[in-house]
Amino acid sequence: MSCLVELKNVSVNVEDKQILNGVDLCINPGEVHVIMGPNGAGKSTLANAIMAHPKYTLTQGDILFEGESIVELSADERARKGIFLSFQTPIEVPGITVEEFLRTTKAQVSDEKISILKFKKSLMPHLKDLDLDEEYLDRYLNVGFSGGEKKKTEILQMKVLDPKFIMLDEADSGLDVDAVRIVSENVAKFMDETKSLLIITHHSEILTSIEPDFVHVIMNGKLVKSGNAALGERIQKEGFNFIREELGLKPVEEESSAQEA
Amino acid sequence: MDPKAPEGLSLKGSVLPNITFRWTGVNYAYTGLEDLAYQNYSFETGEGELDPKLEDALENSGLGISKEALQANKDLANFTNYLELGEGDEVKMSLVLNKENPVLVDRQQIVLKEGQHARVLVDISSEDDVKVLRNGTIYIDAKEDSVLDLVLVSRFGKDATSNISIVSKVSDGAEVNIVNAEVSAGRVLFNYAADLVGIDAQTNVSTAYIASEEASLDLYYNILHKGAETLSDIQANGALLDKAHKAFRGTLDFKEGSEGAKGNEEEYAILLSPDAKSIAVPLLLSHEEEVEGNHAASAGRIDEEMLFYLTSRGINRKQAEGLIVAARITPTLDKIFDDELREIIMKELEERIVL
Amino acid sequence: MIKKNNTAVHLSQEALQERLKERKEKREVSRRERQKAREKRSAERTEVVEMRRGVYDNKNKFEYALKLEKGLTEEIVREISESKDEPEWMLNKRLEALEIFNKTPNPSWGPDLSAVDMNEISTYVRPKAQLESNWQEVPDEIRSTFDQLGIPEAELEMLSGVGAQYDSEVVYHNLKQRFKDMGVVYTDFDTAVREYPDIVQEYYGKCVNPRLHRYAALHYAVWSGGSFVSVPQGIEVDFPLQSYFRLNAPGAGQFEHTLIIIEEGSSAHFIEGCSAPKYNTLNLHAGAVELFIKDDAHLRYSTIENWSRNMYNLNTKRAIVDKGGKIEWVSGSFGSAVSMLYPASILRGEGAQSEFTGITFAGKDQYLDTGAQSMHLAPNTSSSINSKSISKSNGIAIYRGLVEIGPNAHGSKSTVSCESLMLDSESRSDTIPTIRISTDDVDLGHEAKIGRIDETAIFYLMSRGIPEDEAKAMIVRGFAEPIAKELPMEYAVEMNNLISLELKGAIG
Repeated sequence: MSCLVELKNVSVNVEDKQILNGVDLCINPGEVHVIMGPNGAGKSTLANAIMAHPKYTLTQGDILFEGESIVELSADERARKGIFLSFQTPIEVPGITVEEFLRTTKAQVSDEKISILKFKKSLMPHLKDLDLDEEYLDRYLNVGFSGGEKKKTEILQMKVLDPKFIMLDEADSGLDVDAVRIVSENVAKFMDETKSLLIITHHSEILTSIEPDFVHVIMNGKLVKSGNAALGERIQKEGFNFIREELGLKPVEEESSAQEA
Repeated sequence: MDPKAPEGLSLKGSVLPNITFRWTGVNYAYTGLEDLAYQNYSFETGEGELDPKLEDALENSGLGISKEALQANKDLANFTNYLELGEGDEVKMSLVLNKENPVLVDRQQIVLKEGQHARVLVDISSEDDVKVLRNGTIYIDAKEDSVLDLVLVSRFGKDATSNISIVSKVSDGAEVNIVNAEVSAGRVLFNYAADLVGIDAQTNVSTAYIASEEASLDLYYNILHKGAETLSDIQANGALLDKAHKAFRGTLDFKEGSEGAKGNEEEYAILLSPDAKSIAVPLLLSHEEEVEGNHAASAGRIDEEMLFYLTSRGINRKQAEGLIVAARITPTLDKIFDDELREIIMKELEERIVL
Repeated sequence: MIKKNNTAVHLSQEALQERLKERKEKREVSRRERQKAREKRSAERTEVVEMRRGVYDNKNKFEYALKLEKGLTEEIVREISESKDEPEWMLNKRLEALEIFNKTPNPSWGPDLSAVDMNEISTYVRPKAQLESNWQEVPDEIRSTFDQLGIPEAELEMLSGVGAQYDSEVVYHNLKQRFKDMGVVYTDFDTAVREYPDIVQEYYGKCVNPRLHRYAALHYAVWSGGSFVSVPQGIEVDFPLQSYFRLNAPGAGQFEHTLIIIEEGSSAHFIEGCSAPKYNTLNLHAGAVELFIKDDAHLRYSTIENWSRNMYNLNTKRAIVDKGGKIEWVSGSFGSAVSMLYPASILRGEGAQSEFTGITFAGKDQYLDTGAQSMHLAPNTSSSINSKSISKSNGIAIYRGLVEIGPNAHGSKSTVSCESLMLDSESRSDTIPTIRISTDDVDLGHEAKIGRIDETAIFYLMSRGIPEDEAKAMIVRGFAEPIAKELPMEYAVEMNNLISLELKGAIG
């Protein structure tokens, strides 16, 4: 089986500062990968680099999607290939309604003209799945949304764009339990054997509906450990210090978020 | 369609960097310096010789109230002071205008050495019912990474005319913080221009004022953001009583090359009399895309609900007004590093508002 | 008394030097980064090409019935008046205004107007076409221009009346019988002077005074064409009245006069749309708009100005609002080389209200100095100004405004909000507001900000498959949306098209 997404010796800088250092990773179709790691380890950098955020510069290595290098492609081109990133902090875009935005993106990604009425109708089941009112479509994108609404909007976009590779960046931060459940159920429902998922998280709630195939740990810009779901559970209980010990690093006082679960 | 000038006045100063509708009369202020002539000021003069290079820098800056005012300051100076300050230096001066000394033409230079932090307090006051005239300049040269805290307190009676031009040149990483408290019934022109030439240069101004009787208070700020990542913040709060007239005219000017610069100006005027007049002209000028400029101005009476709340607790209306005004300007007054002086200002406030 | 001491030492000299070194190094790093970012930006900046304006630039071959000699003299003014068969009082007003014009200099502030040379402008151009009452009778050439702009066809059905001005004469006019029966008058201004002399004489020049400024005076000396609307008491005109002005003669100025009177308790919506093809000689537009809104009456006045890039648009618009009345301005300024336009609301009746919503887009070589004025002269009046501006490619966008709270305006409220978006470092954006308050019982708030498009927002949209250009256009359209929302559909579409056209770089 060939990888859907493959990172080869990837190093990434943010404003002249190296964040990722020689990361290798292969994600096959149908797989669910989870990336864990202490704050500032480079988890979000990984996702942003795959999505071509202009502030994240690839200084070494290659990123392949369906076997082809995508490093020369801009964010929109990558999106059109089927890569999707759910933002940790979705951006507010005043003046553009959710519906208008979804229609524009769908037209771009699917490269076809879309009837306004048909499109709106096609959104209705998604809204219901995500427990969102219809009037929500007329609100400006993310403007004045609660944390839960913002994350649901990200998932709604995912459903509409129908990507092959989904990255959820801290999709469960700042959400109440119900919202996390809705988000994770919707993602689980969306997945099939052709799609892959990369979850960046501190918590395990998101994993109640989604069983990970692999759990990776990033520290100081490197993938230091990989395992199965059991590794994730152990980190939830103990934090990262046992890994630090294995690596011969000094244990540190854990950030509370790793343990509050 | 020029608006009518106050009687006997014709000299103009503090012209807006970018003028607007002429008939509104907000483009300039009247300096009231017509009668300025040399008189001895019998007071110990400051230390040190003025640095001619800095005198030239002031003259050539194109800043300050007006060319004429700066020239008069040079020609007629009767109090000069050169301060070169290092870490921990603290200078306090108190100048009083009265019958014996009705004219003050003060000319000061403050140089902050690289990386050093010092503070200066200048308190100028005039005795009531004495006609006094003041025309001052302060030139500040803040070298790299230095910090100057400058407190200017002026307390003038109704027959006072005071012009003060402050020009600061702020180098890389340096910071000039100005706190000015104006308690005035006379004609006061406060003019502060900051030349933020260095990267990361910064200036913060915090103004508190109480203008009463027929005061004419002109608060003029001109912040030139030239260096990248420069920062500025102007806060002006105060109260207008009787027939007082106040103009807040602040400009944040983002020049080319000031990328990453941020500027903020906020003004809030409390009007305590139906005859008071308040003008606000907060300008934002931008030649650089990557900047953030904000300004906000608001004015109004004290909220009736709040007054009612306080009076329902047994405080009379005047006292309540005094309390509310005090609450507004306390953050500024707290930065005056002289307890005695702060007390005096609070007492003045009470006298003017409550009694 | 001078006291000097050294008690407030913060750091030792060693610590100071240490800190100094650190800060210097840090600055050096960020200096290099900035330099790099700057180079990258300028490399990426798409070359701005002369905008193709499609049908907007269509020039018509057109014969002029009468074209006067260039330059402005008393003879010309008399000739204009004579050709219109005007009453004596109007001629006198014109001559009086000419005198004021000759005495009044250009404003000391704002854009440079020295290029406005009266000798270069023939002030009066009259098309061959006579006033038509039926669309089919409008000459083909004029009709084809309007057709290309898509003006009436789409709107004839829904609009109550179309007054289309071609050069200086109103050539087409239609008002539904229904409104005639109601007593609503909607006609061109020349006709109004002849047919409604009493009303015109009562209001003419009472709102916009020829002494206001040089170009108001010029307007009153040479005005020609324009619209006259009078809505009698208690009538709600529930379709927008629309007028579409076109300027199509090289070197010709346009000086249309608009007078609208909304009587007690009535309401109307007037749409003024402007579009002009491009010419190389100087063009001047100095119209005057006088709006009278009586007790409890309501008028909405919408404009989209898209003058060609050689136009000097020095227009004057004012509304006088009586007790309980309300004026709403919706204004979009896109075209012209130079604009100076500050619609004023004079709130002279108790409880009068004004609302201004405006957007200005200054592209290459444009200097758009626009804003709004709220004058509160009576108790409990309220005003709001919501202004947005966009500038790019050396374009200059200025917000210049005024809020005046007079001594009798106790209990009044005013809010001002200005937002400026700069799309590059070559452009300029200034905010120049003036606030004058002469009473204590007011509630006033003013806020303004200048900034640029957030890079993360662009990335966010791009990560959803939207190309960079479109992402930027989307954000700008979103910025303009609060204005577009206030416009009739076809104008909102036109505005969005203009924004997209403007943002297209060399690739487009």
